[in-house]
Amino acid sequence: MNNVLLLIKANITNTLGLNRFLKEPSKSERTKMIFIGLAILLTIVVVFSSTLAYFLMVADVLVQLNALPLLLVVSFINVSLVSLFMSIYKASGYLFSFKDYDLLMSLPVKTSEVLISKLLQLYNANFLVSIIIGLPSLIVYGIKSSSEITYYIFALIAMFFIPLIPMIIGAAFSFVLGKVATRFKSTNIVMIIGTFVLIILLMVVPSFMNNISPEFIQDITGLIDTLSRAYFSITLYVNALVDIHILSFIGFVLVGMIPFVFFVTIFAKGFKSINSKMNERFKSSSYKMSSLAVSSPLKALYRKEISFYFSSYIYVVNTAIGVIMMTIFSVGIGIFGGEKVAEVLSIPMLSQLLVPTSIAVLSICICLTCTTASSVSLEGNKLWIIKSLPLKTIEVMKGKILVNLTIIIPALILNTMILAVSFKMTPVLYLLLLGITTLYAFLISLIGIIVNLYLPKLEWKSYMVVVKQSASVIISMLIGVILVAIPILIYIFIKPADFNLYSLFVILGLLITNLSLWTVIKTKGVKMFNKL
Amino acid sequence: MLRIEKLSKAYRGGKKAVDNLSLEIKKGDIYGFIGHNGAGKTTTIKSITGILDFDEGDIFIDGMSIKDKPIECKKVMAYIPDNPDLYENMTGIQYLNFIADIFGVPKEVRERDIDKYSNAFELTKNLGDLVSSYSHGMKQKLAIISALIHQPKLLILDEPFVGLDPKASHTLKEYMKEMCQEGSAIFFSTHILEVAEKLCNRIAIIKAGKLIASGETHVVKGDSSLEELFLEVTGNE
Repeated sequence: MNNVLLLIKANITNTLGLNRFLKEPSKSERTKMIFIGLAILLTIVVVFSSTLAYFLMVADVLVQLNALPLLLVVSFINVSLVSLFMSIYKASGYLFSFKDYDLLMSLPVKTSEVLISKLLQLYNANFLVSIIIGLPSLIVYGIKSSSEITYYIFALIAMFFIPLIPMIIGAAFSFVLGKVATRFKSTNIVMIIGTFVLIILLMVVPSFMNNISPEFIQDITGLIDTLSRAYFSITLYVNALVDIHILSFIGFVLVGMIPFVFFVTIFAKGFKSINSKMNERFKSSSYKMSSLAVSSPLKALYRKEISFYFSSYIYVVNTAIGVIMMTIFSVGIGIFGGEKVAEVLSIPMLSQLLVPTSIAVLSICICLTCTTASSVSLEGNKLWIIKSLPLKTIEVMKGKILVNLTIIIPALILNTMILAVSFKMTPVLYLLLLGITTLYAFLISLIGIIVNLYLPKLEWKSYMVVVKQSASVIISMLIGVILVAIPILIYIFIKPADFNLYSLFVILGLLITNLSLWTVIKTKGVKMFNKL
Repeated sequence: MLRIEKLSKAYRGGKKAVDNLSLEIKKGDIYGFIGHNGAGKTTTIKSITGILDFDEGDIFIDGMSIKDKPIECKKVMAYIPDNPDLYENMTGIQYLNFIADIFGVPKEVRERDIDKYSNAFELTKNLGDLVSSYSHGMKQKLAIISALIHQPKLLILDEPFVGLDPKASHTLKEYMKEMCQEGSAIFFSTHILEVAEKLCNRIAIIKAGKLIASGETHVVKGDSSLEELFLEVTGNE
């Protein structure tokens, strides 16, 4: 078998956990795995069907405007943007400092083959999301335009090639960033700052571009021409699918493939040197004993946790994104005003709903910031240290919770102050805003610990597996978002006359939930940790 | 100092890793724990140190049960694993200070002892570097120093000499003897039978989770060498 295929096969075997499932002796563990698998499948089906239903409605409008091919453009742009975002977000984790670097480089395998296998691993990670986002609009176009089977074959094959260019752009950014970072002593910090700058640019810039006007939609040719000038591949894609034009289709596939081949050829040369430099650690070997600071066990645990957090690029980039989004939102409101930000983000923020909507947005961003959901798993093969030390388990938990609060609370105070000034809030309203969001910060921290104790993953080779792909992280965030949605839905249904009073009830509810979860951690959580 | 009473531990799937094991290690003992790969040594050691729960029996450290008083037990004990996975994002000195903080070692004592032991193991100049830049042997030395700085009454080591250079091995043996002379006890597993023969005043041999021989080294081995005895009692596998 080809080396690339062998490497991909090994990657898939390692990441999917199929062997673990098949060899798992415990029935309850297998049931748990099946349950998680079904939950993920159900989520995919729900998201896919909702997107399909949404595009069916949009298609009716587009048919009236005689602009149905716009669906194809939307599908293309959505998949491209998501792939670009995910690639910038994830490429470094897949391409640099991966755990099996030493093993792979010691094998009689070409560097380019290792690079291709890592790129395809990144591609696989993006592809599922691409399908969920891109396929519904393609199906709807096929139905509404009464296309024949050739369209569906072309559309399906084209789906595989859309994410290629955005992925290469994301990977190229990471390589350049990686190259720059290796020149600095603190490679991690440079990578973290660089990645966040790119993500912020990617989030902010397209949002402030002019919206597409109805007149523009009606002139579909003009629209595609404009977009094609920015991204040539779109023309080929639309021509291939609308006219079932075989040459455009081949052209589209080649336009996706050629940059991939170029990228591999060029960057295979730098792949080894960047990875070697990234794996190097700054070493001075010139330490002289000096005075040592004495701390309490809790402070020592907290310092251990926080220094680990900031030393892991993947951990920071994946967990601080909520705080970054929250800051973009608040700063956006501070600079442009609530109405403009609401328009850009398509939030139905009427003037009387500015504060409730801001509380909801901030709370959701907070629930996306959960370092605790992987913190137990991240102990991994170092769990023996904590378990063999004379420590109360609850102190260990406190250390982990404090890290999440450290990431959220300072940013939260800053952001709520920006909002308070922007919306000219009364002190009472400001305190309610701060109270609700702070309680959500505690809530998500506690939920993360509990879910991670139920779904620990202590055997891992790369932080990425735990921080990005573990069930614990996904489920914690999902629970967090649901717990934000509950008061929002109640608010929509009961339409309370006094917002302040309603907020007080929300605070009370959150307080009770937080105290209950803390009790669970102190009792059952401690026992579960001790059994790990 | 350490009393293991009818310890049993089965893994998922039902296989018994440790089966009805009883041992007693007294103050001043250097106790060698010998067995094949997979015989149950590490499981026993991890049960003693409170890392693993066990199914039956009990373990008493300085008269206290590890089940009932885990924190008090751990306060008087130190553990050095066979493959020290330490916090790689910390520098060596940060790791040692972290351990000293957890054990509440006074400032003057920790500064004095870190200096003493890191000089002895020739690690002082590397203490400012990240643990991730350390070799296996250097990590092993750091784990040893971290175990010694809080002056444990009971030292548990899993294959302590693997990965250490000859000088560090010698230094460790000297400290082990010194500790025992001062009334501490040491329990360690090893594959290096010559070391066990020369260093340990008592030994135990484990096979398939069961204790098959134990007692004073010279009594257990008699006139034969420890290697001969080991091969004989473990069935020359």
